[in-house]
Amino acid sequence: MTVCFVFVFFLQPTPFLQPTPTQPTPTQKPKPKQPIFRYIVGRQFMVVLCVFVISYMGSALKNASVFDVSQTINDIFLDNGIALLITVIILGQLTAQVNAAVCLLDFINNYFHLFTVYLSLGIEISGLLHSVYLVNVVFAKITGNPTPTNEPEKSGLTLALFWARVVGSLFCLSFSLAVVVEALLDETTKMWDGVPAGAR
Amino acid sequence: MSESWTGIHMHATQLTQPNPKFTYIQPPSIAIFFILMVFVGIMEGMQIAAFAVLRVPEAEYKDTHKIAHTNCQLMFKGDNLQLFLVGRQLLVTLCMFVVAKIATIDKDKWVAKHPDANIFGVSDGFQTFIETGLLGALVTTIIGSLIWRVIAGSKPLTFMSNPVIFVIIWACFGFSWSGILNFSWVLGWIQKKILRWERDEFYLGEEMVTKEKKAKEEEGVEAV
Repeated sequence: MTVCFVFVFFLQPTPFLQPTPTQPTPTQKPKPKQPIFRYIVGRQFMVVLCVFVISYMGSALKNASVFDVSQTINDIFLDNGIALLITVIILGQLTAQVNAAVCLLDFINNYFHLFTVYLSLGIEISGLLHSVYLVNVVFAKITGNPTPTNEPEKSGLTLALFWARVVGSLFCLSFSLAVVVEALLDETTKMWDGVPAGAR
Repeated sequence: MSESWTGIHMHATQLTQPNPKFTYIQPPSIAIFFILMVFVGIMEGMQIAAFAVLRVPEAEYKDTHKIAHTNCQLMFKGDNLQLFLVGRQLLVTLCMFVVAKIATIDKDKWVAKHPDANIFGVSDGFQTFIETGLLGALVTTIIGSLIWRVIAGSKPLTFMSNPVIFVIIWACFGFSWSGILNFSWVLGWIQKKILRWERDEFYLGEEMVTKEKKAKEEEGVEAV
């Protein structure tokens, strides 16, 4: 989907890009400020979130067995999650990408994709991932190579709100990282049995 | 003399026993977690960096960044890009599944160890939320993906000069050549027929699509 949006951004203005009732052209909305990176930020979180939720919901129980196949096959495909992995990649990712690469106009020409664009931008606006912008700013300072942008320079309330969201995001990230590390050190995660879990 | 040897032996024996007074680092799970973060990050970033390097005239970096040049040559030669993208998809998703597994609290293990306590003393409701593993998704998105994209976009040549990328590209080729994901082409064809999708040439004309796709590749926008 990302490839589709990016490609449509770079198309010359043509009649097909004029909004019609059946063609919402979701890419037109964010064009003035070139917020493709904003979209990517929200979209990336959605992608990772989907993988985590699928993993949470689709993982097999220990010693699960199907189709009366040998335990080794079950261990490989169910216990280690290979079956779920292949299913997700083929059904959820590659099939769509195969078509999105050549039929990109039809691919994004529906209201569900418009919804996902707004959802991605909504996630970005929430500020949950704004710590990335801090990294962006710090890296630009270090390298002396500021990221080119078409957006107007932030000032006043906009600037304050931006940094407030950065601080909020940093807090969320720190807490999340602390929880994950604590659980790993405490050997209470779903890490495979037998892997020495940690550190104390 | 013999007393001192005995003393050393006893001391050595004590050192090999777990000592509850001291915290010591035993890498595995925590190391696996962060290694996977770096691995996912490199794969997210290398796509950005490779397309960004495409925009740089080859003569400018051919001699100064030989590894980056080799990596880009390998990635964009013939049909290699398609093979790389398919393999990369598999590897990224595989790593994310593993991260999702090891970064999620196992309720049974937690209750067995801490029957009456929640992590950091949070409420029961929040503990339930944490056990879904969604905090791991936040960590993975920022530390394992977006930060690397920023770095790769800022310093593509330096990023592509990582020799690990050469290994990753070949690993991606290997997964693609295995054919394990090739059924997606059949499903894609079925999906296209059912939904009656048309190729872009149908709407835009062959010439324009070719021109725009070429411009897109030159601009490196696929990297997004």
